[in-house]
Amino acid sequence: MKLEVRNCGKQYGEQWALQDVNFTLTHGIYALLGPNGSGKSTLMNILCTLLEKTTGTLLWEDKEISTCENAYLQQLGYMPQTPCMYEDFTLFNFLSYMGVMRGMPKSFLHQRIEEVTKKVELTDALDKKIRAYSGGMKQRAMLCAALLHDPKILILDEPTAELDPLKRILVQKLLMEVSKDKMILIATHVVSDVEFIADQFLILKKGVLIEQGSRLALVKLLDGKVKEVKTTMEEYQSFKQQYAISSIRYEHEQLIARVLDLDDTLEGEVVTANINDVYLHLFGEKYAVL
Amino acid sequence: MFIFIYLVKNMLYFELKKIFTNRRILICMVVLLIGVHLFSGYQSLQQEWTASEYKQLHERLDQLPTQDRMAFLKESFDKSEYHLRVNDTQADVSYYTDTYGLAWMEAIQKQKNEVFFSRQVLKQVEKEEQNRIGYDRFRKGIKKQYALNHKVSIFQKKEDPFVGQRAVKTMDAYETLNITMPASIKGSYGIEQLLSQSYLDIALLLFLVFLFYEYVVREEEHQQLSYMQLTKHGRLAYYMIKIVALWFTCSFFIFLTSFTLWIQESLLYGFVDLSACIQSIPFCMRITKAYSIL
Repeated sequence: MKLEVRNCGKQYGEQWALQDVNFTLTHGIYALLGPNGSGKSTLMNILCTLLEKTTGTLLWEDKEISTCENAYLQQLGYMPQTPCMYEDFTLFNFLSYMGVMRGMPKSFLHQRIEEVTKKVELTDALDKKIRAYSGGMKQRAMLCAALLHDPKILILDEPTAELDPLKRILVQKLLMEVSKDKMILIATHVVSDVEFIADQFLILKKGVLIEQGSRLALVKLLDGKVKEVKTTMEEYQSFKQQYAISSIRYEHEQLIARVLDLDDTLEGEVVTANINDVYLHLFGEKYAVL
Repeated sequence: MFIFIYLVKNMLYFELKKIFTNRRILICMVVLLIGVHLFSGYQSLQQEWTASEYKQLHERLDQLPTQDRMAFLKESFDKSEYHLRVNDTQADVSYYTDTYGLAWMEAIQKQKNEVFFSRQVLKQVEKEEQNRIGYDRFRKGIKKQYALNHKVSIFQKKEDPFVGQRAVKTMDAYETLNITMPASIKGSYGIEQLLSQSYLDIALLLFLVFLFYEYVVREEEHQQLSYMQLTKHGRLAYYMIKIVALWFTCSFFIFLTSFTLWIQESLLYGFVDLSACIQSIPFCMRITKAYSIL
């Protein structure tokens, strides 16, 4: 199972939305990180064959996707950021419809509907109209639709954006569970949602893949450069102009700021970096939380 | 086409479900339906005669032998005309004296409070009756025209070669047509109205535009079309089945409006036998196929 992206680029007029992107996906979870406008959606649309690339090649099992598009699409499960279900359908109707559109046999389809809705805890809402669903329920329903035909490739755009903490954990656990025999690409800017479940991170900035690697490899970039500094609110106000601060908290009435000290000029306790720090380092520059 | 529909019947089921569970489409359908009925009702009110008068006249005609109907209509027309002149001392009534006699005139003078059929309704019913009894005459007229043109064309080929050809074609078209006109064409005005109104076409056009927007354009806007493209049947078959669903829904709308209008018109002007030949309706008299009204 291998999906290869080689020198992939997309140009809109004079503007390059994506430039010379290279990576290979095998099984496991991949997190695609980047701020708005970094080219995440463009890349996902190209991977889903919804958008024509300007340059490069896409290979599925070493074959150009355009030559085996039907076979590739049969293996693809896609969950767009915005739920695009039919509001007047019940979830059962919608999933049955998706099954029919995917050419699934009826008996297998009913069995799969039962399985996937159970996994995302929507079994009780199967006969409820989608119009009456909350944002989080709609997202879980879309995840059901993506998983319905048991695809090998899962492309998920912000799958946890509208979920409450419990349901986020549920979805994270589910993705971990199914990732054993699938490749899952998750685009998000909620770094904490993917930090501990993703095997690899792909970081896009202005259409260019600036970093890729495992969590450990990425946090190594900031080895010894993340410090927790005890400060006061008055000091913090001037402090935040000079340093990138990823978080602040109060401990025993003492303000503690988590700072990226790239030049090693600050006194403070060195702590282990996380993906949030890496993200801030790559995109935030001297951005402060307050 | 039907093989294709059979193969993708499950898809068609869901496509139709999308349409018939869409509140906005259903509301549009109901609004247009009400609009069509109100417009049709308004048109009936605009007429110079009432539907009950029309029905009453037909009831009277039904009691008469078919050969007496035209005479009855003519007499009713004359009664109506004469009644208008009763108080006019200057009017020339010699025609009535000669045709019906003084007793008839006196009887009408005494019926001052009786409501006579209006001239317009009498003309309408007369047209229907003429159509029924005149159909054979109409067919014979075609034969005669054919014979005449055929004759003329031998000597005047150079003047108008198309006249002869047209007569032959018309003759051919009617030659095989074997239909029997019904004895009564009671209430065909309702059907006539139904078939001749352009507001039905306008309603259908409005419905089609709205349906296309709701069913296709909105799906595109909500990225449902592109989402479906990722499925096995999400491309050519999907678009084709959408066209079939549009056609089916429009047909249903036409059926619904026509059927309910037929009920409305029939309640007003009387129920007509839908299995009668289409030529029973005056303006369909020239149709060269053996269709029934239905």
